[in-house]
Amino acid sequence: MPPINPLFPRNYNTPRILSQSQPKPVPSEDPKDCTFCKIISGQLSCVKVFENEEVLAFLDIAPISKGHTLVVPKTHIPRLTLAPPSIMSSLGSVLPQISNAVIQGVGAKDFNLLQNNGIIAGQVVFHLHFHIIPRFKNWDGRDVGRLKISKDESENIEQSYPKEQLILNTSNPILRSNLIAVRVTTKEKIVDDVDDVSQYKAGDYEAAAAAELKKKRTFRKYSYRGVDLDQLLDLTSDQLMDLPEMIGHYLAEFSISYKHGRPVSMVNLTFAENIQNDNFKESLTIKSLSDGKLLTHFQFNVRIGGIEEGKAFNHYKFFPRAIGQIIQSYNARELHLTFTQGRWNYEDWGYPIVPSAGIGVELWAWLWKDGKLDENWKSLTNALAGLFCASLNFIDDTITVQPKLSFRPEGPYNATELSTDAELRYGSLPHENVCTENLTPWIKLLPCKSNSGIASLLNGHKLYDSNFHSMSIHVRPVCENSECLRKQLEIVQTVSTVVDPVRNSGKRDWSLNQIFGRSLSQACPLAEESKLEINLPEDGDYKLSPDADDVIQKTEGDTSKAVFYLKNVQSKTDVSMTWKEDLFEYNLNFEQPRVYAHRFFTGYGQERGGIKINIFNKSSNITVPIIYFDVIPWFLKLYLHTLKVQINGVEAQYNPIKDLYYQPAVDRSRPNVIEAELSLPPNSITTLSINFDKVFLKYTEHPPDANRGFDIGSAVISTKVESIDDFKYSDERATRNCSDNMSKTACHHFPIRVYTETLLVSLPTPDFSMPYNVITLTCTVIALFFGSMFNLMTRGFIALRPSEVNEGEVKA
Amino acid sequence: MPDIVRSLARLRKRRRLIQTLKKWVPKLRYLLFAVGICWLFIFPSEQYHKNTYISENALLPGQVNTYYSWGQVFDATNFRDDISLMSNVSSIKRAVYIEEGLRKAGLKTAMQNFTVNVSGKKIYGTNVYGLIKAPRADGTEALVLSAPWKSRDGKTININGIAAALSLGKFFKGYTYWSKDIIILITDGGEAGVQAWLESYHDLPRSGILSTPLLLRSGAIQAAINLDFPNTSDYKALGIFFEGVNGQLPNLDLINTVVRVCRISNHIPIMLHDSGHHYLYDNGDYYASLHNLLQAMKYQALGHPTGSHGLFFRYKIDAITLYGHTSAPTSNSFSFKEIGSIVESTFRKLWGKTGNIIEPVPEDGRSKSSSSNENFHAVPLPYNNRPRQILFPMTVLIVTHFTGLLIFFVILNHSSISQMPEMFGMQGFLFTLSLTTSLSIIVPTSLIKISQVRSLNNNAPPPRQKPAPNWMILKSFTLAFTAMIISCLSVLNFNLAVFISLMVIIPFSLFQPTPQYQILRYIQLLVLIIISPPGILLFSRTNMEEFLRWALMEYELFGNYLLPFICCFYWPNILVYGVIVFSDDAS
Repeated sequence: MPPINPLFPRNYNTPRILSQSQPKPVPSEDPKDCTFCKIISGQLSCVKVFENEEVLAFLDIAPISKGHTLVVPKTHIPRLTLAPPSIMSSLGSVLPQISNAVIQGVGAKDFNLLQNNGIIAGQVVFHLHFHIIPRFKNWDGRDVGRLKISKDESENIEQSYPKEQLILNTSNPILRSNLIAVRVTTKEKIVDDVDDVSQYKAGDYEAAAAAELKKKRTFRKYSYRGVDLDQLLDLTSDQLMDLPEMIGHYLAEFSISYKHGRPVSMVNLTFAENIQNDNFKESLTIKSLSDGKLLTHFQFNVRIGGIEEGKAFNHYKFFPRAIGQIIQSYNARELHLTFTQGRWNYEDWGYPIVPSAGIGVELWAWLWKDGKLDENWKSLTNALAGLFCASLNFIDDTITVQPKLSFRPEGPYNATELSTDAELRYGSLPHENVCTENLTPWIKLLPCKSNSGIASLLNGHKLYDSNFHSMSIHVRPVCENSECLRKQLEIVQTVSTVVDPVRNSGKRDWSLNQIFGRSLSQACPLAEESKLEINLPEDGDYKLSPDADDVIQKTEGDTSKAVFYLKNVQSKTDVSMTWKEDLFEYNLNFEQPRVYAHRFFTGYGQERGGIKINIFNKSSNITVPIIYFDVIPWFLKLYLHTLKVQINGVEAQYNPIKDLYYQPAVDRSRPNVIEAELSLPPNSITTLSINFDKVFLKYTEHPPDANRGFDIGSAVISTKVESIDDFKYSDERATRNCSDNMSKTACHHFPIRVYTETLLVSLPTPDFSMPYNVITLTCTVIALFFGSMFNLMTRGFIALRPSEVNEGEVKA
Repeated sequence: MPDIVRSLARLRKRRRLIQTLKKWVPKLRYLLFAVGICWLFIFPSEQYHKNTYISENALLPGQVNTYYSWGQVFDATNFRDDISLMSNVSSIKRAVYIEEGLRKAGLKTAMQNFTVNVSGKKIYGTNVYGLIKAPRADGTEALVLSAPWKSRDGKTININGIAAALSLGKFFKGYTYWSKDIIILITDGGEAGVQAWLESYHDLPRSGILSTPLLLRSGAIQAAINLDFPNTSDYKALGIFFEGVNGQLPNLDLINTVVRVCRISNHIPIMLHDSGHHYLYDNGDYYASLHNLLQAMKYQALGHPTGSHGLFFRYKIDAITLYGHTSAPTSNSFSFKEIGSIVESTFRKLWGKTGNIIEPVPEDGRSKSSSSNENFHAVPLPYNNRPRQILFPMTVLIVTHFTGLLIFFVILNHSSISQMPEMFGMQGFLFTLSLTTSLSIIVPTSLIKISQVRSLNNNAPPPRQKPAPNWMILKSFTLAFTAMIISCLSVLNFNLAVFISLMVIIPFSLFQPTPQYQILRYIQLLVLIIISPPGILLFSRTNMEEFLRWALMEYELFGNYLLPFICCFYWPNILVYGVIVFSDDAS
């Protein structure tokens, strides 16, 4: 279907521009004559669809189609360009809900949202308004005229059409209460060529409507592919930019290409196909940790439907175009990028909700085999580096590896198919510092940015003043339902922080204002679900204020949760939790998650050393299979024969290594990789150790700035969530691939990944000032002094007669 | 022709010059030796030594506001009161107390039990430590604040030191600006505890300490400060101890940072060691400076760590001990408040320090640029093409050094061997001593005998030229060997090299066989006995048994190489000289 021009729906019989030249009553711009103001003040009657403090929505008196609704601000604003942001935000925030209600109310699937400004553009009533025009299956793309409403019908609008009382379906109780039944006529009559002017002419609303019904207009417009060129060319570029934004950037895909120095605009409204398939959910989880710290986890999920794997798509609604394009141009099947700062403390905090907690930047992607996979990976890292202002472009061959057992795809996949069609690439930069510079582009990918919803709490100053901070993007295919006949593409954006309220006050008390420096705002209007979840501690005398909308009781090892729905929450609400205690007492006997690990260097000096990793299995009766994955840079020369496994400090009686992949390093081109499948006996410490030699680097290979050495990235231990106990330490989001109606233990779980510490290795560093002030000086002194002294001691100067010389020569 | 005449004249002039030089070179060495010694005494003078300066400009010590205040002093006083009641409590119990104190402050803690069996003595103990994980940091680096249970005299309890460390641990937890983790370490059993902890931390056991493995770790330790504030009284002056095992030294910046922090922010009098000589910030008087210099040289030469900090150096960790001195002739005194401020200020300087080129400090900062004038030169021999037989000198050298190894072996197994003589009611150390001494007497005498027998039986036809006497070749070899040892040693432990060369240069270069004056021979022997290890011990009136035990423990526990050096390098050379002195002067 060709695109529809939002300004002028196609196939109007007569172009409006021409109609202007004909003598006709010029619509008045005087606010006194504003029809809508009268409706708002109650002087004129209307069928209200929605009302709040700032916005009123009512049925058009002369609808273009069934359910044609007008949405107006209650303040008088003549046109869009004069609208202050506050009004637009209140309008914008309710538009999706009203649209949804209207189309559901009339049983339509798709609709147009129109907004006219100025006489030429067809504005009739000079009070800013949006038309919501539902479109039905039998619509042929032509707007042939207005549905006729007789005078009687108009007068008796409340009583006349009680037969079809449609209660608007919405899950939101507030909206539901604000909604009045939408009633539309059953006697649809089509009247040809009705002009807007006739409907809303100043003066007597109804009379005007009746009088103008018979007026005929013809329109002729100069258009290219349904776009009115004259109109668009007359707009300034600012207006042009504002236009789709105001209509709602989510409705329009907007592109400008410059031709002959002038912008040629294409404003496409292609929402009709995918509107139901895209959805956006956001949630914020707050959880008190055992050592008094507080975990906050933001998660934003956008799903885009109707995607076939490996097939290109061009339509973007909520899905960030920047990521979509990267994925498509570099043929990525899955993409996982995490920025982390600070250590996750597994012993005290359990498993993190974020799937990755390795310090620095971690990037892994499954790429389709298309003959230039490595090129694509290189380009992918470069593109992401540019997008996130990070040093991802430094993930080159010396860092990139292909894990064989870890980092399986998170989306649904068929193992054999995957191995033949796609490959995994993994790279991490442990030394990368994460800051607001990375956060800003991340926020830009969100549908509502940080303007509303829980994203408005993302305050860089507070986020980075935390004990742990992680920011990630995961793009992967997901199944639409459990049968997995249709697939969707999902992007999950998360931000996790761990803050320490105890540090400042000595108490665990917290409030949103204290953690983020901001309070809760309105929900993001685009979000299908926008909620704040607070994990309620099992014990302790605490108080949550205000009261939560809902409390979900404890299930399957999970804690109870208090839930706030942001759509119900008043703007500027501050949620807080207070404990009845004078000072927080640190829990001296904390519980520990089942599997965690610590890694450290052994030995000292700059010649050789070793790496040891202690992997703990705290379970009293379960043998846990794990996968240990470690990438060690080439400048540490590993000796595989020194790889040893000890269990509880003694040599293992049987070999706990079930499978081992080892990639030896090649100088300056690829790192060492150890990947081992182990089974950890119950209640044990399994220790892996390996020795290495340190390489003397070329002086140009040392970083130019002051440093203590090189960072070695985290080792990764992947383990499955199996017992109920594990849920205590992991959030459901960590095991995400479940639909809502399935039980937690039944559905497929992603492995939990445990990240160890990063390590600092100091390589033999040349003293860069040495050559000049020491070696040169010393060598000179030695050469002058030692040389002459040595000469003096070993040789004697004797003057010889020529005869003696000859003699000497003969002798010699 | 005039050209030839001129060049001939030049040649002659040169020849004369060289001949004079040749004549004077053997005497020149005494002059150089004297210059070297004099130089040592110039160092402490004010005109010569450089003022303390910080080579890392980014450090800016003493520029931070410190927040350690009366609230923390109150905490420290509470800890002090508790600890002072625990003088007779078992080490497990007090470790539990300390662990609880640290845990309550929110630190991760762990304990470590260790047992050492060193030179017949068993040391047990329990270390306890807490870890402050720096928020936001990746935990690849750490700083250590340590306090041993006993003060450096080995008797007094380090009450204030531990209390200050605990209060600082609690205090540091409340700040987020740390970029390195901080480990609060309370060690037990003297230096053995520190060694046990360090070995476990780096997971490289080498001294036979049995200890429980550490499961709580941080990253690479970058610096350590050891607090030693015995008893509960106030302190008059702050002593700084910095010498480590084998004369290793910390980065001078660490010392200077502390000095500057004390001067700028707290006006605390500082002294090096516990000398009583005040280190008056760059303008000390000559005798005080000389005293400090000699003291530092002595500590370094012995290779004995002057505190717990000394064991960190092996692991490339800069460390110093701050010692509270109670009896200095100053009016003002200081306590927790100042201790806390100094440590806080220093730690906050250390977190920022990430120098790529971390200058290793060669000496105590004063003898920094001293050249190796004390080295002597091999005796210049006029080039003479006579035959030199090296069989005998080489044999002597090999046999004596093997004897040295044997002596070392005997001392090392002193404790197990000494079981034997106890049956005869003889003290173990006396047996060892007599064994080593007799070894050192038998070997040279037998060698002398062999040489004499050999020279008597020398019936070979006389060569065209008379061969060089054996003693001369032996002496050249020994001198060259000693020179090599000393110059190598000067790189490792400069002060030990200085002391060794001071002792041996004059005797070694002068001594030779004097068959015509027997009395001279015995005088030479006497001198050799005096400078031999037992001689030194005897004349310095050291308790032999104590010294032996001490040296053994230092070697076994900390890897102090003084004992092997003395046994395997120093003593054999003196034995060789015994042979030289008593050999026949065949020439």
